[in-house]
Amino acid sequence: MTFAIEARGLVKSFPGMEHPALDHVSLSVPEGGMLAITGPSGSGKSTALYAMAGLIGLEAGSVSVQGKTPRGRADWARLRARKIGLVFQDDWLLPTLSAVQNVEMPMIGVERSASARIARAQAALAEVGLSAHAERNPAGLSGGERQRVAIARALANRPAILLADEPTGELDTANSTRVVELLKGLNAAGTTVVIVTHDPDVAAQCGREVHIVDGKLEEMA
Amino acid sequence: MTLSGLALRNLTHRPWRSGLTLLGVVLAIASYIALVGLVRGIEGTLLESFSARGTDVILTEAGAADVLSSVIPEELAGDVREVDGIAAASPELGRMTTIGEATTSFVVGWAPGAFSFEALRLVTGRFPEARDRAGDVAGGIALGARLAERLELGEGDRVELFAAPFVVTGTYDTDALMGRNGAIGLLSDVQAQTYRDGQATSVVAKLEDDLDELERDAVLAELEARFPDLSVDATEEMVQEYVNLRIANILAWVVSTVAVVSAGLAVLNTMAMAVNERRGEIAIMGAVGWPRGRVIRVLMLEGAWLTIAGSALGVATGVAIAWIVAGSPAVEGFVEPVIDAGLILRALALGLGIGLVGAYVPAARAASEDPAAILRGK
Repeated sequence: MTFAIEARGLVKSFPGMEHPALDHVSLSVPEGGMLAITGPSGSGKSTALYAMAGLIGLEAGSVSVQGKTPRGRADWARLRARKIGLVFQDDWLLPTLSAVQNVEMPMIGVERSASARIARAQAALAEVGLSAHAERNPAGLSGGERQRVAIARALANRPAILLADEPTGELDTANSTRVVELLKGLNAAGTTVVIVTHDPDVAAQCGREVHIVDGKLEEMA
Repeated sequence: MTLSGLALRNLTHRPWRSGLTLLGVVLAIASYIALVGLVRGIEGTLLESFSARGTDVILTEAGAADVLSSVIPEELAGDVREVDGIAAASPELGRMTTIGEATTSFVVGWAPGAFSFEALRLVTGRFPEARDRAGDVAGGIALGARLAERLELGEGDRVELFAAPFVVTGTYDTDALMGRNGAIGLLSDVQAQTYRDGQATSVVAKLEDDLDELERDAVLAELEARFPDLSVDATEEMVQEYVNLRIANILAWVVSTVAVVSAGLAVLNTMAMAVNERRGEIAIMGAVGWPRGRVIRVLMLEGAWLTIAGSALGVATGVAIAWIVAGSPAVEGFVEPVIDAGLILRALALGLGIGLVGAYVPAARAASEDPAAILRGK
């Protein structure tokens, strides 16, 4: 069986922490799966997600994406550009760019045609219901709208895998529901989705949930 | 959207900071252009002042800091004339002095019939003669056309020179800027007024026309052998070795270098601040899959935009400053800035260079940071 993401024996420590952030964590997510990673603050759940995206260096262990193990920063950068979309608790939109330009940004270097990039960015914004706000700058959008633009940005290169770190952490209930529905819809369309969350309601809507405590992973029933 | 478009947006998003850094680059490049252009102009003016009247060789006192500090006997000109290959030689006594109302000019005394007169074109009147020294008049003086215009003097007018009254015998024109802004008297009159009877500052000589380079070198060698107590220089050599000019050259380079290094530090500081404030934006670029090189490139483009614009404005400002300085009453007539395409290209390359170096250091550091630590939360 080919996994969308397979993590084996991940170990990561941070200075000043009593226990490792990741203590030999192994985890696999099948293609098209939807997984929630839960756990208390500082348990290591976000660290696990960043490790799966190749955004942090590991002391031990390895991560494979669709059966391939990237080697080095450049390999990971290529994978994130083409196969992995990322959503964070904060939207991290570039304030100098409009919504559509923010969505276009990951496509620079992947799609050469500027008109194709803009068309795809418009389509991604339409997918999150923000076509009408395409030309607005982040300062002119609500928190929920900005997070949806961030999701559209993650979808820009049509990734097979979407990794989301507390995507509803900064949102009110209505916007949170909307974002989760969006992620569920993407999963239904075939995208593998991994969500880090401390919200049991969000976790409950994912097909599978794992729990991390003190860097150790427990599979939830 | 392009990378350079993104860089430009980032700059315009912070107009004050970008504007002040731009100003630093403008001032640095303007200083470079103005100072180097003016020094080159002084060099050119000096060279032109000799070459325009056909001077090939100049003999001065050995070890004198410059031609005006040199003191040699005027009769040496006769000995120089006897050397094979010399077509003409004459003594001259040059002084920088005040003419009329505080106008500093180069006044030179030439012997009657000196070959240097041949290169001048009389506009009005005549050149000075011995008969002009009569009564209370210390001598005659011919004024360069531009100097006559500036002083509003013409043939027959009187003018104060070396604290003595001189009569203007005529005006002349020449291809040399310094000549147009200078004045010519008789050697004996200038000697008498400057307490230098029988003395000259230099002997200028003209070589025979049909000499090739080897023969010219041989004449110079012969002059050096015959006059070991004198400094014998070809005109270009003399200008290059002119001590004041060398000091001006060194000062120009020192001031330009300080200005350019300061501008480099300003760009570095601006980029370091911009990068520090935008660590999240830089981290997200890495998170969406931008390779490290592209992240560095977009940040360096910001530095490049700043310095391209700053250098272009700096060149225009430098040219304007150089011409304003050259036209100011204190130096008018001594210098015409020499700002050619080579100097402008060097200034632009220098500007771009400082921008790229100033941007690279913080950009490379920011692009190497671990994005996860930043993206975990604001």
